[in-house]
Amino acid sequence: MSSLETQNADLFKNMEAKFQHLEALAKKDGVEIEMLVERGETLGLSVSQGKLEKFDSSQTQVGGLRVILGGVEGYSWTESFETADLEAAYRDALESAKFTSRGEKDLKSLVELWKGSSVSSEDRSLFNDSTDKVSLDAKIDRAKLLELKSKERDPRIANVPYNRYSETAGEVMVFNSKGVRARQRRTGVMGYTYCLAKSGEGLKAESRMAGESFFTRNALQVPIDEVTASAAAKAVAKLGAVSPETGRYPIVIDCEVAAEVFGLIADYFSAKALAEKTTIYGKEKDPAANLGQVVGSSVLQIEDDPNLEGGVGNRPFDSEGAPTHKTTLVENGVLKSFLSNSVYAKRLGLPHTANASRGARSQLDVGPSNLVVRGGKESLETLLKSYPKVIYVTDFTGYHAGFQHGSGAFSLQSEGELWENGKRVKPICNFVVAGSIDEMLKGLEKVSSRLSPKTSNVVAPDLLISSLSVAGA
Amino acid sequence: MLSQGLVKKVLDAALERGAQFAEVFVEDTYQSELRLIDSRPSNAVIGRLKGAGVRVFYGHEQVYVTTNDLSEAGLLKAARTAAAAKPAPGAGVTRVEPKAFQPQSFDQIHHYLTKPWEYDSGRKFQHLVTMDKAARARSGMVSQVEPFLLEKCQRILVANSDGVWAEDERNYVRAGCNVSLEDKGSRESQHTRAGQLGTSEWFDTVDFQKLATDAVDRAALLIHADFAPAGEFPVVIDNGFGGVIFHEACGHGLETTSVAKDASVFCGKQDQKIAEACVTAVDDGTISNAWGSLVVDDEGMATKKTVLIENGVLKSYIVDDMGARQTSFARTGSGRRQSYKYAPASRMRNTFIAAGTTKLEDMIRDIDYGIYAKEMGGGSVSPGTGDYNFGVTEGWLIKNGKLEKPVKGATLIGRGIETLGRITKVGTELRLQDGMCGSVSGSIPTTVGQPAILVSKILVGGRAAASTGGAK
Repeated sequence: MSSLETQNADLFKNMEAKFQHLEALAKKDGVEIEMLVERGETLGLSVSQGKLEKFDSSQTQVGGLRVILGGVEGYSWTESFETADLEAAYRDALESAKFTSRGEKDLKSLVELWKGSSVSSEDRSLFNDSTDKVSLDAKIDRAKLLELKSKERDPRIANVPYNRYSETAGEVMVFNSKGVRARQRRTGVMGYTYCLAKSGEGLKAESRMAGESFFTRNALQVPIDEVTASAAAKAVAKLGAVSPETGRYPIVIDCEVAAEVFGLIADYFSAKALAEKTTIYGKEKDPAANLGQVVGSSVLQIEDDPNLEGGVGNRPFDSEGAPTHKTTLVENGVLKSFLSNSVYAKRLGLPHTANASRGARSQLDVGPSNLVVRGGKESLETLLKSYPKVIYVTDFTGYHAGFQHGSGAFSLQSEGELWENGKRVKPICNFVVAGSIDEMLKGLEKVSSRLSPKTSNVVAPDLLISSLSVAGA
Repeated sequence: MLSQGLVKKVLDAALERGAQFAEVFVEDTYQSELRLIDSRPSNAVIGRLKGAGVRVFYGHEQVYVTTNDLSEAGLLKAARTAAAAKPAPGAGVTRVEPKAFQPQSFDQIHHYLTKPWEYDSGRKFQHLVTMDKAARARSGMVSQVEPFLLEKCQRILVANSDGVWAEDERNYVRAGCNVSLEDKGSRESQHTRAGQLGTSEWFDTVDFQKLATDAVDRAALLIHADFAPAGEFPVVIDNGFGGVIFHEACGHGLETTSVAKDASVFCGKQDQKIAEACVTAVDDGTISNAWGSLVVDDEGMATKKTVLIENGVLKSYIVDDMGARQTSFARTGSGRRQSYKYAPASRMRNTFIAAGTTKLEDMIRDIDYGIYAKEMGGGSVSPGTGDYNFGVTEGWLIKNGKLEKPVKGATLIGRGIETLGRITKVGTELRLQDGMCGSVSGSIPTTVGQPAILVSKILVGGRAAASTGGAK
């Protein structure tokens, strides 16, 4: 065992000892307790105009406590692991649980901690020491290269104002008074560049912005050339954009944008959202009766995969410490399952899918590991020539302004391209695509074989929707 | 929070490789969040944030290091990490000596009384129940009610190598109610929010019933409403949260965070006419107990009132310390951050368009066909291009000078500088509304506001009826 690994093993034991101290207090008070620890180190390097504009480095640790008092939960968190501060946090959690115990209780709602055993992961696909093998100067050079290479791609790139290279190394530990001891470490290297393309002068001056990002767990392979080429090409391609005519159009949604949209609606597949009546798929009172409903066209296939190759959200256990597994959510357009944690599986009488999701500062929720919308067999080009006139959406902006989570209605600021008879005619901007998630998924005609890059825990193909409203000139 | 001797040691360590400036920001924050769902307490979380950030400047380069470890060893490690971001200085580099601290005292312009832990939790529960019951009693279509209370007490210390030593306490209280209605297969969700820079006794002044029923009434109005039409129309944006249009369309573009890197459409336009003469806009951190107010900013400067646009002419940007060094504009007491985890940046405080002379009903009367945006939702902007968007949460169709019917699903989009030039009338009744603003230094409380304004043309993203290009 290396000195670093010994140090890390000691750290886990140290945290476990702190938990055991709280567990003893909880036992005296007759309550159950869980502690979720998040520790992390991050480095962020932002470059502008050839200079290191910002160097951010952080070391954080936070302990999230969850106390179960008579079947109800109370939460607290603290960034200090000094004994006195941990004890104060324990008392805060207990106070929170007492607050939560007000009001009527429903037997089915009574909460229990997940009962499990130890899960410890040293999965090298999630955690490695590659960031230690690159010097700080080399990392700063990478951030500078993001700007320099983007700018060199095209003379119309007037400015590359946002460039960032960052790394994280973190770990999650879960301890509970029912025997769970879980630990997972992970590293990540991320970055982005945003290019501002300009053309014209005076009243005809025009500026368009586009960016590209990357995520990898291997600091020795950072795709600077690909990212800068893509960002610059996207920004330049937007120059000369005009507003399209108002009307209804067949729409192709770019795979990266599609991944953003499915990220917005991931919560619709949550058993917690079903219980709280915040999913559009909760039409029936009997939770299980909502399964089997048609939520999209027959080409729609969605699954949650905690072991996706290169997946950002890969995890061996969920936030309660339960071992994870793959779950089919939608098959041929039909809803097959909701994602659940142990609490909502019990409360709704649904299968437990081990999708507990929780940050140390928040309460227990449900969330996907990697939400994967499966691709088809056709190319993006085939989708674009499916109709005589197609709008290809390359950007949606302002989801929090234009998306109504409760109803699924959206009205989103957009940029893209107008395609006619399989040929790109012109870039378009200043338009709004409007519809609803229900309309979009049921109107899904084709999906491409191409999938979005794994820069988030949602992966999707390009989508061809038969018709959506477009507000333009 | 920390002794001057310890902070001096930390600044010395941060300056050891030739930085021109060093700063320490320390924070100790208590925050509480309480919610009901399904008429039962669903969420009670108490959190304690405690940490420090060390910032150094090498010319226009900024290094920021944060730590949870407030021991001397932890703080010195953070300072040395910040210093080590630059190579060891060569011969001839002059080391900056920190100036002696001059602890500042500020006029306390805000009233604070009862801390979150001093206010009876049973009364908090009753406030939540009041909202829940009021919402459910208002309409049989209500399917879910989620009332919440938030409280935060943030104590900060900021000290720097220029001799600044400023301590402050900021207290925030907020209440809100999210509601969902369902009827005949249609769903509609709405929310209301109220908050102020203040302490928990403020809850005793809140009309919780109205907070809940306003959300239900708006959802009930819109659940079966038609969608807004699509296209370019004149739009009357009402007061209060309508001010989000100025916040998004212009405010972010006036922050030196964007201006200093030539990534704003407002670069180089100081003292130029950028709006009609009816437009005067202000960013004011000094309003007593207003949600976006401060006493001292997160860089240790007393906050102030800043006139951004006066009678259509751009008068000032929103300037933080680094922005001032980069642009030579004077600082405006606007360096803000969500917490010690973020380096400060130039950010808005209470930002609003000042009252004008036209009555709301007169604006509507002059429109043949357009939209009245009575309540606005959130928005966003790309400062580099000025492209903005924001949602209308309660809209009305105007026909022949009258409000014809409520409409939903409208998003307004445009370019900030163009929209600013299209504000042709400004109303008489200024109203402010609290909101949260997310940007490079995190999510911070900001107030938006305006009287009603008339924008002669904005693209409204509603629903188009006609088919184009072979769509089914």
